[in-house]
Amino acid sequence: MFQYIYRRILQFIPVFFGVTLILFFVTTILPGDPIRLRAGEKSMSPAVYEQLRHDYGFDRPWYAQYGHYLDSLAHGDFGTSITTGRPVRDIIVDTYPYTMKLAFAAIIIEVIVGVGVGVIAAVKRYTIWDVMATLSTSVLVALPVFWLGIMLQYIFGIWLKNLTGSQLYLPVSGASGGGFPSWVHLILPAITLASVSTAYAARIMRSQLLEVNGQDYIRTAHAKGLTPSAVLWKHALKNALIPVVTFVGLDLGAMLSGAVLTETVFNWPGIGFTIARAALSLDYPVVFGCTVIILFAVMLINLLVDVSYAFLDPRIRFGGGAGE
Amino acid sequence: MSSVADEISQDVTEAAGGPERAPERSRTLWSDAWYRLRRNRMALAALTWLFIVVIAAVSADLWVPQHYGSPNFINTATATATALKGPTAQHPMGTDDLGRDVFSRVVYGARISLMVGVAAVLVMVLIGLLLGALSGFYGGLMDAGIMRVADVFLAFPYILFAILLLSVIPGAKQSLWPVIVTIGLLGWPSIARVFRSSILSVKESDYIEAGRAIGAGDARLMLRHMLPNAIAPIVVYATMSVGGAILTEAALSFLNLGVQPDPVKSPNIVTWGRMISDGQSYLTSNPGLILWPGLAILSTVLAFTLLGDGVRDALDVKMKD
Repeated sequence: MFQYIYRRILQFIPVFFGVTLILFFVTTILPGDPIRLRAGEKSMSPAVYEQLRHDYGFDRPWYAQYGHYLDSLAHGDFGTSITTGRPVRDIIVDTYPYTMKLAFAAIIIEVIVGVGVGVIAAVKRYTIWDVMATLSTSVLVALPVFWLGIMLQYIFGIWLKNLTGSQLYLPVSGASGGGFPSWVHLILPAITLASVSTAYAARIMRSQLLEVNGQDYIRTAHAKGLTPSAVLWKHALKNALIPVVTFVGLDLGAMLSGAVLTETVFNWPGIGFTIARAALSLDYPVVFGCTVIILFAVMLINLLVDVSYAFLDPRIRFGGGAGE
Repeated sequence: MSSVADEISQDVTEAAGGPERAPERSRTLWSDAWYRLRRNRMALAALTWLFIVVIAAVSADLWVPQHYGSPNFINTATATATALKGPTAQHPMGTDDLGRDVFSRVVYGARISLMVGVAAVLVMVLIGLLLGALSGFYGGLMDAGIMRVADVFLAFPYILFAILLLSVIPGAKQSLWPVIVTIGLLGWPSIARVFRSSILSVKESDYIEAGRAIGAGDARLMLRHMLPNAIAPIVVYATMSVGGAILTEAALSFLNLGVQPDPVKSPNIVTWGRMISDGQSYLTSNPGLILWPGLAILSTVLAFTLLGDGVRDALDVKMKD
């Protein structure tokens, strides 16, 4: 068990260096010049320009810059934003809680709706419920997330508001204000963010449950006289849930990595929104710092998922070579 | 390849009422697959819809009602008078803020979407095949290196990577290539893994040994003898990926990172994602500006997914999920 965890941690080391190196190269070979961008339309004397280049360390060779960057990362220093002059660490501390709040809300929707729909579709196989579930998950997977978000804004923020004479509507922008409690602001962004993953979770749940239902031990359970619901809840679901747990876990990692599109549509002040804005204004310290944090979060969650998988499924723990 | 084809044709002959019903001419993997695909109603509907979309996009110059981008329609009194109208007989999907016909724009938008979707998947398949072949065939350090790079690409939140690359590439907004290459670059690891594992499974088999014995070079072994084994899953994966590539292109355009051509010089270049992003400001006055391009994306992506499912069943490919 510990050997397994140990091996998984070792596997992350090359990935970490690879990702930070790729990021670093993308940001140093860049043709855009962030210092000129900061100056804007104003002209800048060569001396000031050189001084700024020196201050930001842009005049040093790439390996020195990379080494310096890793060193400051180790000290928790993520640099300062080029456009606003704020420390990147402060920006992350401000925005990340919003991303986490949104991600957890979306995960709750994903688990409840995804597992529920999947179980119903599998239990009522070949009925209208199953067909509807399959159709709607296919459509959800093909939906552009940002479009879904805007359509929800229209339906619940504009259409419903006009219909009820401004009595009943949902907030469509930002994380606070408008006289709503803060959880109400979460509703539409969380549904939008959860949509595609919920469809996948439902599909996985359905196919897993169907597969498990075909196995011998389920037939045995039926044969010994258990009621169908006891077979489902006590025997079938337990095993069928394992892949769903894995999917949801990996998905949490993806959601913590900043739902760029959802956050942009709803002006949600999270980290994805921040990165998208920073990338458009060539604010590389912000992009780099936020991405590294995201990467750590994704890696940590992937590791936790793998470890919990080993707990849930003894075949991985004792199978050996499972990491390969 | 022959073994897969044999198996499938055996299945089919058995299903058709026993082995004595000999086919008129020899059946290949592809003719069997086509036969099966034609009997799949969902896949056929998807194929029909894609055919309509492609024909409409290609022939748009001949029949689309309005050359909406011509300067006559912008900055004139008539343009403002016809702006932001709901559906009428003349404009079945209404008009946008500059008085341009939304239906025409949606039709022209199909060009970019299909072009980027298909080209990005080609880039993805090419890179994937090349790296998968190097990795599986030569093994060792090369394999370890390429597979670690693949891990890196898979670990990286890909929309962030696309944002980063597109904001850095000079002139990214003037041509289609940066978007195509970026989406292609993000998708190669899956193709590489499929080809690599397929190579590994046949590398030691006798027919490869025989090919080597009669003097076939590495490239010939990979292209003529190993690739056909892996082609079915790769075709399935590629078909499904076109939908994903179209979604990514739309998302990037929506974030204003996609193609943004000069509206006067090339008025017929429209992207669905950009239409949605522009339409956001007019959500209250004309929600159709958002609705129609979104439905266009949805139907096209859905068609590629359903076609991919159909091709998967037709080729009898087992996939992980």
